[in-house]
Amino acid sequence: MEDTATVAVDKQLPYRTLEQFLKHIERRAFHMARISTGNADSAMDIVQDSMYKLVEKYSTKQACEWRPLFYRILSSRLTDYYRRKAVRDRVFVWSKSAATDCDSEITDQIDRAEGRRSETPDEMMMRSQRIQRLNYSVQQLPNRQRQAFMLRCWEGLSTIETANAMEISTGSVKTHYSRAMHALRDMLEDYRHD
Amino acid sequence: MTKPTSFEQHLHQDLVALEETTAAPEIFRLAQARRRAMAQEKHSQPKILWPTFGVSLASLALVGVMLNGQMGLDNQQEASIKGNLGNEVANDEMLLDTSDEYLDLYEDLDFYYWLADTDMGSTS
Repeated sequence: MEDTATVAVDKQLPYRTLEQFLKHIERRAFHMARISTGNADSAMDIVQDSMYKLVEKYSTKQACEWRPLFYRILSSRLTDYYRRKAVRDRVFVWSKSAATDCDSEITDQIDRAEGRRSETPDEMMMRSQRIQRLNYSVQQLPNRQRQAFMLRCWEGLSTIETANAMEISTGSVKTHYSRAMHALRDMLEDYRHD
Repeated sequence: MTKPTSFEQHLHQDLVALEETTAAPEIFRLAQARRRAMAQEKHSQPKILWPTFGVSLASLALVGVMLNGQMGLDNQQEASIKGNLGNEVANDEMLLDTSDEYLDLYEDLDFYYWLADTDMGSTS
């Protein structure tokens, strides 16, 4: 009975092999890491490290377990990054200005990217501006709120899965997510009305 | 799971749209990272469990040392036993030597009695 249920879950997944899973998830993971770190190179290193860890330790697990495990590894790597950065910022105070480079980098990337074919130039411009604002607003959130928001709203993990990934209680996930949504509502007041 | 609000749905759509803005060099680097991670899986071999190996080796060494100590003790005991035996044998030999002298004395006892009698006769 349990096997049947597992197979049914597996059939819904858009991937069968570990490589397909990584391909399916890599861009999202990269953008999550970039918004969290504010640096494309650090984000790439963190995603690569998470991929290595998943393949090394959990390749024998069932396909339905890869997604929560991967986000748990990613979340853990991001927490390590914040810790290291906090120490570095305390020691090298003058290096803080480097973080602001990310905004212009994201703007460049959105400008370079191809728009959806169905969109008019006006729609493309509006979307680009919205994404820039959203990016900026998500970056302003505290680390834990940002992680909870990205895992719940972006990746669509359940409260329990998010709690497992962040290694905190479900109650804390709800609190972080609720605060993140309130903060984003405040920051993006006229969102989708422009 | 509660149904997402329209605000959440809009955020989700824009975040998914953000993924589509990934630049070609980054897509290439991500593909490279994925390939490297997958290659690692193919080349990975069962690793030796160093702590287990170390503990086993230490246990073997300890057993070896204990056995060696036991054997040394046995040798010492054996040597002391041999030593004791040797002493006893030496004592017996000494006894035998002295007993031989006594035997000679006993054998010559008649002679000594005769000699004493003749000495007594000559003096009286």
